Amino acid sequence: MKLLLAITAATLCFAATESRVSRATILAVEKSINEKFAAYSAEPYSQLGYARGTYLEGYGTLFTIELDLINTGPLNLSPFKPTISAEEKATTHERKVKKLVELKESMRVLMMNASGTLEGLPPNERISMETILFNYSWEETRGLPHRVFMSAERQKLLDAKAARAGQPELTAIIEEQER
Amino acid sequence: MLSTDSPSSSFPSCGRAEALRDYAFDELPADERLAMEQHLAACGDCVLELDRLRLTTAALHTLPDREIPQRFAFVSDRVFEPSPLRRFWNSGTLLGQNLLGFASACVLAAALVVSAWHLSAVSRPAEGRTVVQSASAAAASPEQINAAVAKAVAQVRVQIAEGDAQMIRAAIQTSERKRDAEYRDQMVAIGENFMVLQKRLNMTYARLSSDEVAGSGAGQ
Repeated sequence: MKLLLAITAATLCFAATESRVSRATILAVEKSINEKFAAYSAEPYSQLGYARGTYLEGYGTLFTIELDLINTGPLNLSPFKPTISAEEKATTHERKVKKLVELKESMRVLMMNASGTLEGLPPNERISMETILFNYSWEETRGLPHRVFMSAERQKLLDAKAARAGQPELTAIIEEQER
Repeated sequence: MLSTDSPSSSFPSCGRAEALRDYAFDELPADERLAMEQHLAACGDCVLELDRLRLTTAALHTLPDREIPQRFAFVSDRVFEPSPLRRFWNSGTLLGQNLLGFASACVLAAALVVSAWHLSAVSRPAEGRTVVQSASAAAASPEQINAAVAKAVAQVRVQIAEGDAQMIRAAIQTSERKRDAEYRDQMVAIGENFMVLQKRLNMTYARLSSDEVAGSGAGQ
């Protein structure tokens, strides 16, 4: 009897310290985010760090990643390129503004997919994602945020996934902040 | 018939220079031509002069023919004719003369009015000024004038030099500001490039380490 009580107490203590969301599921979401932003395209992102995720008890999961919307490195000043023309600045800004729309759509889809991957996450807790955007100091940053933050309840994302929701529906349920 | 009054007209000494030139240019009548040929057989001066004329003629024939310029005009052409206004003015008509006379009268009247006003305005003070000016002019020696001119020139030179120096200083300052701004931009760009490079290197190290971990895990 004493042994049974001891095993039960040990089990309860272990259960209390174990996270509801396993590290493996967080790693799976990180991998999907990295693969998404590293994917080849006509205008690829320039990833400046791998996605990092964590679980905050009572709040939910938060994933962050830093990237440049386009590969602006070759345009930057150097001893071999002492000036950046106004046309280059305008073209870069235009390309980034277009890419920002694509980034937001990708973030929404990633969050919706993460709602299925993060099995241990309570339905009333949130799935949040923040993308930190890099801009060179010479760039025109009008209309370009430094951070894009999105957050939604897991249950709403699960419902959207079940309903195979498109971008308009996802936009309606996901809260967005730009800073 | 060609005629000339050049100094060589006294040569040859036989006095047939004019006939000789006509002969040289084939402008002598046939009977005179025969006589000239007989004369040439006996006169050495005429033979020498004929040789010179023929040389000159040959040299003239070597010159290329030139077209007459199309815009060449003679003074008799209509373009040189005076304009109708000038013809009217020059014609000496009654109206033209009247206008000229009227204009002359106007100028004379204006000159009288201006001179009368000027005399009344500066009648007494002008004498004092004249005295002072003449006194100062009389007192100034050529050396003083030269010194004053040299001083004025030196002042102007100093002003010009100061102006040039100011312009050069401003240009240098502008250039330095531009260079500093470019240098600052370059430094910022280098810093940003290093930051981006560092982040990408961190990603590479992270990937390599995760590959090593996966490889060691697979090996076990």
